[in-house]
Amino acid sequence: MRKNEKLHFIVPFYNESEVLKKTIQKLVSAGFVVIAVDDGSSDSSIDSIIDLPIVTLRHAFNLGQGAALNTGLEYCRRNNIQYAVTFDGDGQHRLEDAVAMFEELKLNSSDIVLGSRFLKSESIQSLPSGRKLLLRLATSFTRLQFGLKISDTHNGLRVLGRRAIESIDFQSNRMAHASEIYWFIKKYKLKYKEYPVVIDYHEYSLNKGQSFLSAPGILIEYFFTRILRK
Amino acid sequence: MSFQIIASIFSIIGFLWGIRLIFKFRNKLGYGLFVSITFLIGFLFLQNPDLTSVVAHYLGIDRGADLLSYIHLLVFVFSVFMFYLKLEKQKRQISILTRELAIKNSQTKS
Repeated sequence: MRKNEKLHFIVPFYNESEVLKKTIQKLVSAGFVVIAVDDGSSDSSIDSIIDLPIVTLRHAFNLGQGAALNTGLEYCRRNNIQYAVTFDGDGQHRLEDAVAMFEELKLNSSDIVLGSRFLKSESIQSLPSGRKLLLRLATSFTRLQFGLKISDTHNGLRVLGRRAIESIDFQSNRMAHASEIYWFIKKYKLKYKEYPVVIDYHEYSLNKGQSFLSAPGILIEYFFTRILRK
Repeated sequence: MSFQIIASIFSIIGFLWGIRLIFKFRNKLGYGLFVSITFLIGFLFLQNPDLTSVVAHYLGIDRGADLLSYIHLLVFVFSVFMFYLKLEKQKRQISILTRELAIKNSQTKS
């Protein structure tokens, strides 16, 4: 199969009808290939993007963001896609950051470039202090566990080269995939780099984001993922 | 029939079930051992209730009844854990199936 060198945007979404079209339209207008993964939405999200020139993958029911991302990655693996970006459907990521990260990936011959909010003060100004603390704790936990120098674990904006696409096969269906990715980076010795990005927080994305209450669930999911890994 | 007889029959059935797991399913050796040993201990305690106090004192627990409560709690937690593990495995299989269907039915619009 011929190599596909184009940058593909994997956009997982679940009930994002309010913002999805705008998010994807921006990517399409810029000439990028979009792989939209509907994680079993029960609203009109899918109808809002039905006319757009994109690839659409639909889960029969809701599995979680990790599972949706893995579906996108699996599609990339099978179609020999060389570069992919994971990009949230709620519009909080910036296209220019993804493009800059892609340039960085090629420039440094990295396997994966990870977005970080904590390398740019502009990005964390609008972040509520509770959320900031939660992210710091999650980052410390990951650093302690894997010994990787990272500053922001739960950042959904990542650019992956072919080696990373082939290596990263999430087993966590839900949010624990954000920690699980570092297990793959360590295991397969992927060359990684962090890149400062800005996350556009608005009421919509903050309401849908993680809170302290979701932390125990993520930890339990992560624990079982590690136990079940062969 | 007294409770002791009913519980003893139940313990023997449980013990035999554990033995069956050990010999029939090679990948369930640990689970089979756990089940058979648990039911065997239950059977022994039923036949000689004073034995619980002896074991309890040996373990530094005051009463035999307390020992039984602790064992019950441990078995319950372990069972929940095993059940959750099984559920997780099934969730994974469902995820794989869902993924295959999603990719098979992918729609590309140009």
